[in-house]
Amino acid sequence: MTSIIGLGTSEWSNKLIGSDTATDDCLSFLPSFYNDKTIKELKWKVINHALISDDVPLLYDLGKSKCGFVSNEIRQRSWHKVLTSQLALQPRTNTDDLNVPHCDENQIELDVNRSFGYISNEEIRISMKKILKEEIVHFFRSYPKLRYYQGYHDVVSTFLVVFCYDSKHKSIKTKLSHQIKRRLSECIQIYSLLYLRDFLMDSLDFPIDQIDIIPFLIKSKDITLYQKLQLDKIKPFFAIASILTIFSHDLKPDISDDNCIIFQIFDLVICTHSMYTPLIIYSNMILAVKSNLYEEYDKNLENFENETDLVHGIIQKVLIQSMQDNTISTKLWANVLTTTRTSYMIAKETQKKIYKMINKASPLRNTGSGMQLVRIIDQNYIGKLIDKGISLNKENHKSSSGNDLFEEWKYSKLIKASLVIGVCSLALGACDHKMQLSSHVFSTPNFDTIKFTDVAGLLSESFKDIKNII
Amino acid sequence: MNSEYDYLFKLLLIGNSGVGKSCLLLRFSDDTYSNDYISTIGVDFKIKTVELEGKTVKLQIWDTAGQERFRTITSSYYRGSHGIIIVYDITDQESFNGVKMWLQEIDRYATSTVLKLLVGNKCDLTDKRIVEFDIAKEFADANNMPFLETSALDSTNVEEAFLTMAKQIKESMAKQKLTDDSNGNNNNNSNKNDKGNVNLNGQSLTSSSSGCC
Repeated sequence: MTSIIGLGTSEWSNKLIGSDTATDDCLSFLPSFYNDKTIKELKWKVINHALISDDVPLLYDLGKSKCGFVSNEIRQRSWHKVLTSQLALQPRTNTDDLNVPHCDENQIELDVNRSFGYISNEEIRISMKKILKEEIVHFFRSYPKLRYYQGYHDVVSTFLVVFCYDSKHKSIKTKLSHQIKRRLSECIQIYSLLYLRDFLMDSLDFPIDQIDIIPFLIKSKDITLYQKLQLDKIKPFFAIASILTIFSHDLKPDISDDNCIIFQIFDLVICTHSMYTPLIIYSNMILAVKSNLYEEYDKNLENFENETDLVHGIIQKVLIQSMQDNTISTKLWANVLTTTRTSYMIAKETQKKIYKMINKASPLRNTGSGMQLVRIIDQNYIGKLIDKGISLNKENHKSSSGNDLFEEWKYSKLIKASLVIGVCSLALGACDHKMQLSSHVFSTPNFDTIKFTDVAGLLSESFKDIKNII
Repeated sequence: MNSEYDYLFKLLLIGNSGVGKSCLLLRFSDDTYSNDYISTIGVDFKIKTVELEGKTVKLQIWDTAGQERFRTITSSYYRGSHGIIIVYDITDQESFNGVKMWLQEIDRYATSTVLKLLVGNKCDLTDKRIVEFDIAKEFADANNMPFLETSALDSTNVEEAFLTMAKQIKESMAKQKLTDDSNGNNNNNSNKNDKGNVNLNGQSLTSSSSGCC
């Protein structure tokens, strides 16, 4: 079996055990007597050097290594440098359309109002909501073809916390300089356009295709777990919030800590240049808590009435506990991120299989595929990808139009299959009795008489049909 | 029979975005309230055990995202629900207009025997009221469902809403059981479903999709 996530199960558990003693080894070549603080300070200097000398490849490596960009003050600059190296935004010549409201502004307002609940200072919270609304509205008015989804506000909130960080007071400042505001807007734009396009369509079809990759990754790593959770039978809807928000829905930042896990996850996505990264992180997280999942599965068999509910229930319980309980989460996340950092590459063969699961304009195939950039992407190319995505999404929706039509389709196919079986058994019975069948038994007028060979042929066709249907 | 509880009911909270579904659940399960409480993305769930007429009832409550696009996902959770609470905001006409659409969703995806409850939330905001009590009551009566106005903020009727739902389900099950026992057979789908839903695990409810429109 091709290993996608990189490490084998035993290596994974070794990592878990081994990392007990591992501290922030951002610069692993440093002697072990350096403490965390010194290491972070040193890494800060290297990042600063990379920024000053415009060494983007070095920045990529630093963002991908442990602790990511270390602190928010330098993270802002790093994100901006890395993201603008990936997509060149063209200056807006016509600002008139920024006055035209976007059709989702009502929903945006509802979600903005429910943001930053973790900031206790009311004044700061209100100011943050104001900036958040401005940024989101600005983005959608700039790209009116794209649609807002619930969860996008969590992603943008994360950018805000990073860019509003006040390193002097270890808090949030809401008066931003013109330069920081511009950088913030550019980062939000580039990040959304390169990585989130699948989510910004007018349905959840593409994100649902993306979360289907999680069971696929788990299967290649641990078939027993895959079978136990019956991931072949159920849709992994339990992962939708984590993936749509790149974990920012589950992991709210602690505003006094400028190197929270959620920031490091964003560092990793941006520097691996890959939207596979969140999917790999999620799979690694499931694998890391599998013993708890087994335990909860057996414990809760009687508390749920179907497999979808049971698996959703236990995964939600175990993951939320593991993500939000400080005593477990720090170590667990450190391990999950360490594993992901060493195994974020998707093997070519695996990628080919995944391509069959996703749309042709998906970021997973181009702007967020994790492949090394050979050129800076321009906005025209993004515009084409957006248009292609929208038209594929429309087609997709037309052909399936939700579960209903799919169910009806399945149902009608089943009826057809049973009809075919019925007709075949009639035909077989007829042959058995060496009877000649008149044409009216079959809908096909060519069947004047039926011989055994015809029946055999018909049967083989029918079985093909049935196989296709099933 | 599980010793932890006498009944296990699956409840679902649906309704337009921002009407206060999660706040109602938070008030009921943890007795807290937060004005800035997070938006629900996808589907969340909580379990709360209550005592009802001397019986221990475990309520498994599924809370759903209100934005239209999430209906693709939330519809999968209608399966096997015993009760569905449709919530609207008394200060938002649009959310009350949406109730009709939510009822269609129920017809489409839930079992035909599912019990419904209409809840008008935010009744503490008297100055901002737009949907009159009588109008909502009339609508609820016409659609054969009980109706309550609640406030997650000041706790008005929150517990009552969930307990009304639980009581309704319990009574309906008792009735079905009686019918089953006296008839000695299942003369419609609903009997089969309700029987299957109590304390049975992994019970497939595919046979119950007769409620589809």
